[in-house]
Amino acid sequence: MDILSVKGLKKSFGKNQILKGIDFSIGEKEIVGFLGPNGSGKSTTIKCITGLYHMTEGEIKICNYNIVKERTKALSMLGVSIEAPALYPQLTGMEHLKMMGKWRKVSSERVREMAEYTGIGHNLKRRIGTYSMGMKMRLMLAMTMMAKPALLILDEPTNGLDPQAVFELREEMEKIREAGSSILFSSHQLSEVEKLSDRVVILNHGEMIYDGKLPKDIAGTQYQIQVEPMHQRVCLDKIDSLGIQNCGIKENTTDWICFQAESQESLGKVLAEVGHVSQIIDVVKCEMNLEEFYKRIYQR
Amino acid sequence: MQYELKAIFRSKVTLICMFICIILGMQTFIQMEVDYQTSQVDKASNMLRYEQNVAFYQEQIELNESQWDYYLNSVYRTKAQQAVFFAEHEYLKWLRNAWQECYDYIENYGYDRQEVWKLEARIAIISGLCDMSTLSYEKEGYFPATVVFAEELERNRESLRLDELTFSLDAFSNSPFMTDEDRKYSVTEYLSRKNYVEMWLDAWECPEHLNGNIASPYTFWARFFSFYDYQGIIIGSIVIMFSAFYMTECKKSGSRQLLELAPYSDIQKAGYYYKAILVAILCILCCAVGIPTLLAGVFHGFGGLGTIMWVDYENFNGWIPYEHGEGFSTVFLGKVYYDYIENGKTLPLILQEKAKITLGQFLLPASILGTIKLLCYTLLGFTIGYLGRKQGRTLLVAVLVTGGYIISQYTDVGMKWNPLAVKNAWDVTSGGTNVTWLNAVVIVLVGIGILLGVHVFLGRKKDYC
Repeated sequence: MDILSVKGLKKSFGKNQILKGIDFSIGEKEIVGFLGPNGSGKSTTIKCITGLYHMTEGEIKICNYNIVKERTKALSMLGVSIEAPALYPQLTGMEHLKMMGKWRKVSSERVREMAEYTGIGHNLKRRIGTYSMGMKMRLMLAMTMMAKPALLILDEPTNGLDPQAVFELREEMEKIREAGSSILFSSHQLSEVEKLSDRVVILNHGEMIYDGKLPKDIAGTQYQIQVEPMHQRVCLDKIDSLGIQNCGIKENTTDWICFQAESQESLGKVLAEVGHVSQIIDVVKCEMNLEEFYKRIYQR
Repeated sequence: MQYELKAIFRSKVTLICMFICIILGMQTFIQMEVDYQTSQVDKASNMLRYEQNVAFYQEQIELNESQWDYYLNSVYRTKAQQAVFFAEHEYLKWLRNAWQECYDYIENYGYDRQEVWKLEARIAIISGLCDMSTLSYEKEGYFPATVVFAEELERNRESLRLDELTFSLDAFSNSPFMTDEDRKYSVTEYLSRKNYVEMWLDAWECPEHLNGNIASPYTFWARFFSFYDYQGIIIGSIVIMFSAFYMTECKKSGSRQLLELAPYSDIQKAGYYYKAILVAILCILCCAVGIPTLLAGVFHGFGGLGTIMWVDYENFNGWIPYEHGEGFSTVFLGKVYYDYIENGKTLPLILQEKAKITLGQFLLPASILGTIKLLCYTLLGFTIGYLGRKQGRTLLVAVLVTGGYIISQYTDVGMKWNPLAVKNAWDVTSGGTNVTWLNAVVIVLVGIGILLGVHVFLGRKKDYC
């Protein structure tokens, strides 16, 4: 069963269409990274999913509950933290946890558990107005996770967190997944997304431009070979003729060719074919990271 | 709601509003105490007044005696004329002696406000009865005081010491000095006197009666809500602004988002905030009104619920308020208007349009109207704050609406349909405002209905943030 299903999501503010038809879904125990540059529509999508915005068109279901028609049930499956932590400056951290416990009808035992999870100890008795951004973020996360929701939506969860806290968050997210929840989280820190996610959804200008695996999980390995510059074009044609994927010239170079080989055998074929037309100066096996993948997706 | 209330009461805005309201309440309380204490120690001025009255009536008596031969001993006078002249002479002597009694009482026993009031009230009642009888016009059904107030006089014969009078109250009813034409012309004055006597008899029969100068918790309420009506307007403005401002604060700090994301329906979420704001406002008002009420109760007791309040006959089941001039008198704890003012002379109080209820009975409808007005104004401010998107613009709307409320209160703009133009519950319940109590209740309830409609209609369509 899909924990979250977004179909044909469109959202306009007046004549300005922000989302132009977004489709994606999240399965059980899946962690999905939500990427896109500023203004791409990530936050708007999240606000539509959580019911803060009324969608113009489309359908959103959380655990099969329609966010419009069965809003209360759908929200009961969600734990959400959006951008800047939404907290009462006049209340203490502990009061926030207790309040959330009441709203979500969880036991006081769980409230205590989450109080410990925040790791801010005696500061829980102080008012939020005196908290640092990191402390607010930890508290917000604890409140979000309090009711063990089926789907956790975290918008920029690592904002303001120190490296230790980011590390703990990563561990916590793994635990949440193990406990049976799915997570959709957006972040501009691609390395974090790469470490945490099973899948990424990438938006640009209100359109979804990628929904799939992380580059590290995509079949095949990226290679680069250095050839004599004068033979570069011929070499490319040769590799293309072999049906090799993602073949091209490496950025800012004239003698390096990139391609993706499915196996050692296909690499051997490429080297043999290229060796006929040019001298191979060097061969490099490269792991493509999310950053490069992201760049490439945008170049497309 | 417990945590929302904690947040509200830790907010600076709440504390500022509470401070202003408490200042308003205490100012009224202190003013009431000062007025009460002033009237308590006003011995010298009262003695001077009594002395002047004694001198005035002594002069009248001497004037009468100088014309003794002309009026009383003249053979040209009828027996009836002589009888009235004699009675009037006795009446003047009684008046002189009665004022002297007041003077002597203070001199001998000091200024006991309640006792002196009794002596003065007796003079007011008996002189009113005499005036009323003089103006009576039996042919048209305007009977002498002894007929109209026969039961009351019998009940209070002893306490009013009627048997001590050396003249008959009936003696003036068939005065041969007045023609039918004179009596016809004096019907309005007769009615005014009748109301005057009735009012004093009510006070006489109600030992706990209150008025604006007697300090008590209820006098404080009357002063706070009615006599100084600007205070009620300030409170109304605070209610609207506070409700709007708190909601914009919740949005600004992002804390409202927490609830928006909780698994509750739209109505539950709006209800959660509305209830919290309403409780906060009630607490603020309890401090503003409750503290002085308790203080007044502790110092002066909680008695006085039997005080007579004059209310419009049609106030609770009719739609048309009675017509009256601008001028008014405070009779006990309510406002009673004059018919009209002509050449600077105030004409009769229109008590004939009114019915009598006790203060205890009066407080119920007054509280009902006050409560629904509070619900309406809180809902108005809350709706502005809840549905507004940008803080600056929302606050501007709230300020404009509050301005509209103040203008409506002072100018009666759209008084027949505008909930903001409904005057303070105390005045509306006692009648004489531009709408009846029933009318006011309906206007405010319709206002609440419209605001709820706006909430449901716009709330469902509006995006949060």
